[in-house]
Amino acid sequence: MPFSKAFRSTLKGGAAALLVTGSLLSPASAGAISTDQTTALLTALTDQLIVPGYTHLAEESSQLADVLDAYCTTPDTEGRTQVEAHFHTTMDAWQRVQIIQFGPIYENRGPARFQFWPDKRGTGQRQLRQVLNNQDETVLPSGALAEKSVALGDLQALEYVLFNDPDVTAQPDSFACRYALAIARNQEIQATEIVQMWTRNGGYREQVLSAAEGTDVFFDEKEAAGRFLNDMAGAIDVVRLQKLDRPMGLTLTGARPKRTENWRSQRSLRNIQLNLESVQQFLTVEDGFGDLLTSIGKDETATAMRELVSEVLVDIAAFDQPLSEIVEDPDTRGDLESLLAKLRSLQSVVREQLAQDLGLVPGFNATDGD
Amino acid sequence: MKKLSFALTVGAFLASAPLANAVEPAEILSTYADIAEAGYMDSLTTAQTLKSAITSLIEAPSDETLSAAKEAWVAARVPYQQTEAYRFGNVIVDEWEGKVNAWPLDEGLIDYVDTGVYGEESDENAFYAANIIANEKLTIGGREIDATNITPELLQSLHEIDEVEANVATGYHAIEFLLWGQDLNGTGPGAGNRPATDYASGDACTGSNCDRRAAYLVAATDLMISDLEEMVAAWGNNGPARSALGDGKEGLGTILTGLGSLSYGELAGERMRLGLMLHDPEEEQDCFADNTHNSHYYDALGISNVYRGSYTRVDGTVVSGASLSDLVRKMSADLDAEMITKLEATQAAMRVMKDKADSGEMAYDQMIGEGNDKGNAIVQAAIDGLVDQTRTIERIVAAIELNGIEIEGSDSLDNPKAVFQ
Repeated sequence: MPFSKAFRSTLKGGAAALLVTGSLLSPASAGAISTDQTTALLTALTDQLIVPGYTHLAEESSQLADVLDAYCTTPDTEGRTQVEAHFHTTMDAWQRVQIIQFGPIYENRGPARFQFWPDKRGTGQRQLRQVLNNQDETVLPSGALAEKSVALGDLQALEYVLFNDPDVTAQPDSFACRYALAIARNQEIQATEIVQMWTRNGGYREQVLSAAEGTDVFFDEKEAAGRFLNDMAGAIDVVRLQKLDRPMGLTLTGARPKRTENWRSQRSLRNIQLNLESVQQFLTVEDGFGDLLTSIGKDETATAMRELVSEVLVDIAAFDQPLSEIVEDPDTRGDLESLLAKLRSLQSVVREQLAQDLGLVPGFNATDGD
Repeated sequence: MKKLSFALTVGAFLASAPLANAVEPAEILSTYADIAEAGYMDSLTTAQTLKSAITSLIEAPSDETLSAAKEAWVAARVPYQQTEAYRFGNVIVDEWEGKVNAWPLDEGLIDYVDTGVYGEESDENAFYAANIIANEKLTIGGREIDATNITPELLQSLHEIDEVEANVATGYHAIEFLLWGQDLNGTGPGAGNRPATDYASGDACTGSNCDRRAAYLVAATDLMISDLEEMVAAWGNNGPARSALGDGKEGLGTILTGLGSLSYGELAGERMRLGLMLHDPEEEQDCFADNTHNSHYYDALGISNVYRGSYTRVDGTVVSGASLSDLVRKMSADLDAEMITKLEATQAAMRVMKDKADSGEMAYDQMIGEGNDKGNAIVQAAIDGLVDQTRTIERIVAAIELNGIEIEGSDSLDNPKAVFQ
């Protein structure tokens, strides 16, 4: 239910009461950011990054499915190359939008239906092996995967089917290839749904853009901006904790190469690079967080963030081994440690300085549990 | 000008709202610590009752003594789960918690398993099927383990061995496994069905090594009791957990961080949504006992207790006092009402889930099964309630401008992994 004006003003008055009396807390440092400026930020991120990002994902997965369709009938080398190339561009598109952790992506079983990872207990892989070993035809009909475990219809499953043993998809009309095709179609359908949920009349895009008036979802425009800020912080958390810390272990002997993301298709670092490029775009897009900071005289924060993100991206580009090797390599593992340190700095700039400068409160993230 | 208008708003607000006496953060924190102390104390006494039941089981293994021990375990979960709202924020709790309530576990570390269901090995865990009960000495990954004497110290050394969190050798779930055994029913009806004769002596012993199994069960229970004693003391007068709450601002941040993290990332996400997404019976917290509905229910109740500053103890007495709810109500009666409404909506959804399981119609692992639309919807409603209440917790954080609580108050938010180091 939308918030009443009365509640909104009461809340603002109440919060001010605490601040004015100074009984609790240090004064808020929100600069003079107008509602229009915040709405411009929301518009920029939505229309320049989110909607195009999901649209791109839908297009890529559609093309992947088409290429797979042809390959399953006539599996040749040329086709194989096409399939792998389109798997990678689809995964690229997903990794770019992986940062977004609210809105339609969170409906209907959430982001895991695109990628269920990490699979800490091996549950997904166990289910996947069963399907492949039993040639379980129930995964094939159109729409079937939407009802089954997310681990059977996501991009991780597709990677496993295509890369774990390339031979299984190389026979004409093989079960594995038809299953891969079913997964790609499932991805196409899901991504298309997300685009529609954002862009349709009365859809999520409108919720975000009219947040200032108070909507079903957002109390005000600052709350919506807080979701974006939370996503930047969340993306950095995921990179640090899941994509780097877990495979690295506490010490060299604790390194677990197979805990790196997408090691089968050797794209762990590429994923991280894309995730952080998205963080960078939140900052650098016109009317994005960077411009907003500059407009209120907080260039320092903007500069610090830009520099840290650039440095991190340069560091990632400099690695010339797969991440699964680096975590176990005493010579290069240290470079990951310094990358992690930079990511921690970036994290505190986002969570502390950026949040404080803009008077936003980062919320809770999916990584806040164990 | 802006400041003036705020001041005016405040004036109008103060004049129009019939306010109770001022709520001091220190009073809220005091209630919070009192509830923690009472909750851990109740966890301790119910664990001691469990220990007596286990002693009876081992002295005279029978269906009756085994059932009594299981009932005592289920009863011990009631107060403990309500204390989970103290995780994710209180560093002392976070550092300690893994010893008593770690999950999920690769139970093959502890005892025999059905390899047809469980498998024999895992890429992730070299100790996946170590079976400490069956092996007095074993060498895994170049590491020699002497398990001749099964003691609390041995179990401590095995816990999370090899940096694998699934190597859970201690706590509620290790004990649960030793009482129930594996649940081999998939998403069909039924819990684990370990026979009482797994603790019999001589020829009557099933599953081999009954004396070592009994020793393991006793050692794990003793260890859990001493761990709980430590946490009761931590929340007592001048206890370190109570003292660590600080002067007010940090303490309120700790409370809210715990409530939000448990609601969202942990309970709604890791424990509930994941199971629903995978439709997998292994993805339930109390998987051997089929007690997951209760664990989730009492987690949610614990969140509500903390917000409202009131806890009903195992003996029926109530510990209550100044609460976060009082403070929020003072700022905005609407915001407090929104929070209460959402907490109650979550409670109601959890109650539907609990009643459904208690009635015997379907257990939690059946509810999350593929194609069980009715069951899926029941679990989803509880998840939705938790996600929804998290949004209001965030609004409360924003309203009292606890900027940067993640950094100041909580290692678990800034670096969830650090709490296990």
